[in-house]
Amino acid sequence: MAEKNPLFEVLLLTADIDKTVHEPARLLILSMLYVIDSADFVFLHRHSGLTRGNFSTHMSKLEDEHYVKVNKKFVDKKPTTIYRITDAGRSALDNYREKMKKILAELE
Amino acid sequence: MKKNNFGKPMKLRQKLLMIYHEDGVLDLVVGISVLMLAGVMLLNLPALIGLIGIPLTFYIPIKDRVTIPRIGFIQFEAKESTRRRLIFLVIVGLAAFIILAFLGPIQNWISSSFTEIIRNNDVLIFAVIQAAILFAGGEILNNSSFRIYSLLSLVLVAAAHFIGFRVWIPVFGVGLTMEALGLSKLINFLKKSSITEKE
Repeated sequence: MAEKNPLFEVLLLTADIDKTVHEPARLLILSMLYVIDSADFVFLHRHSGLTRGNFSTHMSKLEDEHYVKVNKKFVDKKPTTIYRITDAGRSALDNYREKMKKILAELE
Repeated sequence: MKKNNFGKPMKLRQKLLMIYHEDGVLDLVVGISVLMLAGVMLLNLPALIGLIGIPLTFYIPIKDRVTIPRIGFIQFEAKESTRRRLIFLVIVGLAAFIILAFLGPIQNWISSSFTEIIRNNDVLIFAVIQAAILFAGGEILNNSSFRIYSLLSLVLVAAAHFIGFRVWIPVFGVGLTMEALGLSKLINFLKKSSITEKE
């Protein structure tokens, strides 16, 4: 009988990590949205430390995964994009946090 | 690592709240209400007490014109929830002050011993109510400076009771402190944050 790899469970955990959430910029953005109701492009971009193009790319990825809901409207005749985390986004971040806790617990 | 007033590491939401309130607008607006309260006390016109809520109606328009163009828009909870809390706070605050202001005329309906306790400690009671409202306002609107204003208010107004000077003086002092700190925050904020780029 083949021996089970002692790292099997850890390998499973790391392989199963949500790479959409795991990316540092997206993790920061999703974390900010997790603790608030909503924020606009300007606030998130300003406090993410990313370039405009980079920020837009990450937000598109989050939107494609349905982790973030986007609402575009005009405020005082200026285009405004409001972002809000979805239930799927919240679950994804919660799951990510649990998996990371288990992985990091292996270090103790 | 940034720490909050209680020495604990600040969580992300608190850090975002700190960013949102660093403009000092809340301090300025509530400070004006407190100064107006001092004016009502000085002039002994309890009928005008309802007016002290008026400056609070300028909070959101000022935020829209001064803060949001500079740091962007952020909403910490659903709009309805914030509106309900603000209305609740204003109603409770006004009710508390109206009760105190008009306690005199209704004292015939209350037992004399209770009336005497109130009369002998009216300034202390007011100190506690004002401090509680400022503290509650800070908690509901998530502004930690208000814990400091609450403590300052309690100490100064209680001092008026024990030392014997008129209560409008410490109330005026608290209002002035709020205006000074609010203005200082606003000036720093305007220096640090220019009107941001469009999307």
